Amino acid sequence: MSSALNLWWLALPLLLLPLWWHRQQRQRTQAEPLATARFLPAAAPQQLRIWRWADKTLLALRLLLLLGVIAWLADVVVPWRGDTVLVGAQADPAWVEAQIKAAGLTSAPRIVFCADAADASPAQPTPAPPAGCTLRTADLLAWLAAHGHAWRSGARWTIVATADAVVMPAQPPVLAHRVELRLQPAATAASAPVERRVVLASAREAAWRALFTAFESGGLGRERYRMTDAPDAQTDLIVWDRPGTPDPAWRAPLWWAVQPAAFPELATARRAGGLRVADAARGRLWAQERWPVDEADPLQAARALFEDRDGLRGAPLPWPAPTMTLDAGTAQSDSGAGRATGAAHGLLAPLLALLFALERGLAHRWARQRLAAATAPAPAPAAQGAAP
Amino acid sequence: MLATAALRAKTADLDLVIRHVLAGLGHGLHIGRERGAGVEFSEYRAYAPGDEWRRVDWKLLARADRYYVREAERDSHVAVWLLLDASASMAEPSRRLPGVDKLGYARTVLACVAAIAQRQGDAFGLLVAGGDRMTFTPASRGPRQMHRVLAQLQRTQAGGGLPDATAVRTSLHFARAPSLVFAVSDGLDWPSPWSEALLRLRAMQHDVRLLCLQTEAEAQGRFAAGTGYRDPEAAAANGAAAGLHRYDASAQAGYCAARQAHFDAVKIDCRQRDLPLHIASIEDAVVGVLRAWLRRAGRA
Repeated sequence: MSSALNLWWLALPLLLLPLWWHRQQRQRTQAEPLATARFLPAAAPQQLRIWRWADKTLLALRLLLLLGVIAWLADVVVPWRGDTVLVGAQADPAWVEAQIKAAGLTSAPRIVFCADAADASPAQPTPAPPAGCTLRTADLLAWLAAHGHAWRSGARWTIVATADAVVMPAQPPVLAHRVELRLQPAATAASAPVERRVVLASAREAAWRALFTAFESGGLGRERYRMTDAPDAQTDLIVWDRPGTPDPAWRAPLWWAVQPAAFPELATARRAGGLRVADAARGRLWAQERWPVDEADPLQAARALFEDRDGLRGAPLPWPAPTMTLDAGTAQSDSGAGRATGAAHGLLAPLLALLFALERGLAHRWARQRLAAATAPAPAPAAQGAAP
Repeated sequence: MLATAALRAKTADLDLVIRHVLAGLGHGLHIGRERGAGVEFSEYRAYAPGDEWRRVDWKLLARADRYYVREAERDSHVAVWLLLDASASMAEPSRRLPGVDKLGYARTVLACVAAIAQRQGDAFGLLVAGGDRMTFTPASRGPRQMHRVLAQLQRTQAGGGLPDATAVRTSLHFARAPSLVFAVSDGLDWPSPWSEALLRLRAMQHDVRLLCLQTEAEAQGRFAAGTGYRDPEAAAANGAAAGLHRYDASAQAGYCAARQAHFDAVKIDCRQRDLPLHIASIEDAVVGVLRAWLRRAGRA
């Protein structure tokens, strides 16, 4: 794609077209000296046209316009950014300042990014971005790989953010510039645990509460589970572990159906190992055939459950990147680093519009002046020439 | 080789051109009133560049180890006057041979005539009509005069128009003594004070010979169509926009007829006043044109 766009630069000789045209306008009125011209029939005296300021301005405008169109088509990008610090919006400001000072980039421009753009599922509306967030991307390294052409050669990137703000890519990214990741450890991250609301409809409520308490400790305190009896707008999960059918008015993004007989939708649900998943009007239904897990070999059962769950999920779970330094890659063509992606279109579009308006306005004004001069009576007989 | 017009166009050294042209011309063709380079010894003179080697006294060289030239005592009353039309129309270039124009051709022809006059020991002077005035170089003899005339010829640029009647009349004070007048022009300004002066000189029994120069394109009426043309002298007089003309295929016949009528009138004028006229193309070799001009003049 990029190489095909670069072929537009071959259209640069088109710039000779306005030059030739303006040159023609001038040549047409020139007359060669001829000693025996007196024996030729007289021609009507032509108005001698010279290069006026409007002529040259028009030529310059037309050249610029043509150049702008070619640059637009060729998707030109001029690298203009230098060393840059990318600051995570969730990071502790004091810690961020200390890291930037340690890196010696206090005067470098900063880009505040939020790592929440693609994390939001359709069921969960995207939360409002924090104030001052200028870039929203789920995968910052991929964004840098795609937009590296805007940075000058030799520029450095320094990412200062919380540990979960930068996703570890599956393969080492090939970047146009050296990037240093300075990530705030998760233990010191100043992030509040997320509260999940769970409706427990079970006769074994104590066992379920113990299970969710285990989840909380296993999740390093990132999530807290609040048990309720009836769902509301903020409910995340309903655990149905009792005979009978649930209230049709109940709605939740996810249902854990321990008693699948209560849900006719699960009869036709797709299977992934021992898991069945169905999307119904009341929410996504999730059922496991063998529950509770086999206590004889709990580790094996948990692994099977995890693999089944992975089979349902399309993309792998994001994994936080560690603090590290990635050098600039060399395989530019594979990565897309340095590839033009229309970044200059935003600048070129108003410029082209302005140039076009100026060129048209000036051309019309000049044409009106010429018309007025042509229709006006002859000012002096000397300027009309000697016609025999 | 230098006699061919294309090669001559590249040769700035007029002296060199003259030698080649005169070498090709041979002897005995040019008409002078007095023949021989002096028969009666007068004095020795120090050698000056431009003197002919055959006039160096070799015996005196052997004795004095210096070059001396034998000066002959002659009493010639005939002066040779070279008249050059250097108006703007003489800048007309050849459309076939790049670098060749009428003024350069006329300059070469007149330089050759001057060289012949110098070889014969005649006094010769130069009058250049151009830029609306006359430039006068008094007549004299010898190699230094030759250098003066050649330098004046080299300096001459085509421009402006021919001088008016008053300027022409005041510069013809040489007409009192009998003289040969070699005039080179393009014959386009006819009648004019310039042509009247030539006819008047002829009427005063001076030996006037006129060479009219033209180009092949002019003679055949073949120019690039679709281009505007302007008369250089009309443009110089009335501004660049004046005197515009057009040329296309339909205009060729009219052009040839008008030009023929003009030169017919010139020829009739010259014939009636007994003024020898020779018309030559600047694409022709100088040797041939000079030979034909002098021979024709000799017959006249």
